[in-house]
Amino acid sequence: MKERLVSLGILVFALVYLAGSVSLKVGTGARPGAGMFPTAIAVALLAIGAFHAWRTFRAPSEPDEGHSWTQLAPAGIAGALIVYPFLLHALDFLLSTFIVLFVLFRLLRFKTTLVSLLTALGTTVFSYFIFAGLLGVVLPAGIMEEFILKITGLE
Amino acid sequence: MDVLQQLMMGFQVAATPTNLVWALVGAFVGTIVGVLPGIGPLGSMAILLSFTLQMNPTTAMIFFAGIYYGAMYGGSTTSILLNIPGEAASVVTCIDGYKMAQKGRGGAALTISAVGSFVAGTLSIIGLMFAASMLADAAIKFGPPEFFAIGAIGLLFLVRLSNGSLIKNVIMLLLGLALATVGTDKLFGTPRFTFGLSGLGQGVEFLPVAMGLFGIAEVMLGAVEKETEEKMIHVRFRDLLPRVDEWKRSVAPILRGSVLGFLIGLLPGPSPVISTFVSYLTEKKLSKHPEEFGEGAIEGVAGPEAANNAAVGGAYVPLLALGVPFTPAMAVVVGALLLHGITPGPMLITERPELFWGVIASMYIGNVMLLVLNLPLVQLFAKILLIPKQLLLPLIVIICLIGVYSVNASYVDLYVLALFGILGFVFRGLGYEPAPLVLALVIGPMMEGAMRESMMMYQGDIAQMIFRPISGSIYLISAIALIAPYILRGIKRKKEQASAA
Repeated sequence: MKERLVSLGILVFALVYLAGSVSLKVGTGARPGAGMFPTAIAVALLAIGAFHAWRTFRAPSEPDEGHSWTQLAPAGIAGALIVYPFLLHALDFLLSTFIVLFVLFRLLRFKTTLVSLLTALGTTVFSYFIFAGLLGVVLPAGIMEEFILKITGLE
Repeated sequence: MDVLQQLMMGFQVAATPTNLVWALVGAFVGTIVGVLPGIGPLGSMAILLSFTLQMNPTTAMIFFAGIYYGAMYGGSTTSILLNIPGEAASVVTCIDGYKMAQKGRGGAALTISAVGSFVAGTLSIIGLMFAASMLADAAIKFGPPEFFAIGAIGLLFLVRLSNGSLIKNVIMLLLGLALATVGTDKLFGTPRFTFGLSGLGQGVEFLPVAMGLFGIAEVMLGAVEKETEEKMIHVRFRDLLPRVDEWKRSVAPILRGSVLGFLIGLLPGPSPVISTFVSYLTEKKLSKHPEEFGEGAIEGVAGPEAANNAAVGGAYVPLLALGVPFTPAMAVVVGALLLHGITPGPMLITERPELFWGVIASMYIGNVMLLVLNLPLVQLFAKILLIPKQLLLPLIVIICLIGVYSVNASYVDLYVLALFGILGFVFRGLGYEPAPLVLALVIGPMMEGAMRESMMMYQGDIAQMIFRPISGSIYLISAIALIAPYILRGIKRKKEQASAA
């Protein structure tokens, strides 16, 4: 089932990509336009994608092997990845990173809630110190971040 | 300046305190990465790319070379002591290495593996030094048709030699090439597939894609895998010394592995992995005691371990000489160079000699460091496996997130990371290899540019583009290399049928 879904997804992508490619100027052999290379790729992807989809649908349906897409841990990690940019924008580095890290620790059942909390806190502060303080990476910062740099003398 | 003088200049660059420290850090990190299953050299280099932003380009390259070599050294430790390959290039070492450890010869296996890696690493650097300079000299004569030919043939070999299904590899390759077309067209300035997002104007960044497909996807796959408890075989320091007969039996496999590994390293694809299998089969075939293979033959450790290290040197040749990465790890190295405003290519050796020769010299130094570092600390490295994955995986996620954000301070890059992390989890779970996609994303723009320039040069006459002397030779040699195995197999089958009849 998963194989079929993915092969269909590839086919849909190929169709959309082909439509986008031909809408660009394809040009001529002597003067290739912006759409020539994408069109060639899209045609090849569509042909191979269609053949692959045909093969997966022709093969007898077998129960899915391997990991499930809906298991809590990977789904939680995916969720954390999607939410993190929003949090980072709204709450700056320390708070957003702490929240995501703590959630990930709990999702993966790392020891107790208290240990997860303290480890997330320590790791967040330490990573800010390393990246922003020592390596000079510019991370979204507010009052708390400035305070950390101040007390470590790296401001 | 001759090669020796240039090498001495390289040693002056590599021996500065900063470069020595980063070479050591790279070697140490690489060894840890090699020990930990799942996070290979590619994933770790992608994760640590942001660390190199504050370094000068030469230091960054020295750091990455240390990681790559270190991973090859570290991978053997857990293969021998725990029967767990730290990374794919150490799978073969498990076969005889673990058997040796069970028989109380684990220390000898570790030493032979480290010494073999050192010898092979050093020999391959000599090969790299000469091959890269010669190839770069030749490549100055290359025009757009030749660069298109190298890109196309490189990707073709990659899909052929990568693991898994051929059709899935081709699909991943085409998806990578499609992604490479996102962004403003370099010739006409037309925006392509940007959906009005200014963040996509420069194209899809390589770093979040690589980190998503390799780093995040690995974490998600690791989160669903069941933990296995392996019994570690302990080795005392005094057991590390091999017997005289074990040394004697290892010399030829190490030398053969070095040559094989270097040559296979020149090919696109997972060359360190392939080289170990080829070396193992060669040693088994040449051995007077093939029955010992699988039961703890020292040749089965010496050859493959030498081969995977030598392949690393080989893999650097096309990158440093042509600017074309043939392995995903080398694509990360290109990413690092581009981040520092350096476009790798045939002129790199003449325009940035301190970088080229500094990296070469640092490889010699790094190999010595690894030899000194690995043997005394072998138990310590093996214990790294005891870190619970519930702690390790979230930390990798956070490093990936900070790493990606730190390059461009871009939220779009974070979404790209999330998207490719999820896609990587889905694709890798179904046997789609991410390496062709990542390499195509890096090589794609070069290929498209070369193709369009060639077509304009020859007014759209594709035959002229293909049958130029150099590009024609590249296509011909590659076609022979791709078809020859099938022909040889056919001949062998016919012979077998004839003898059976």
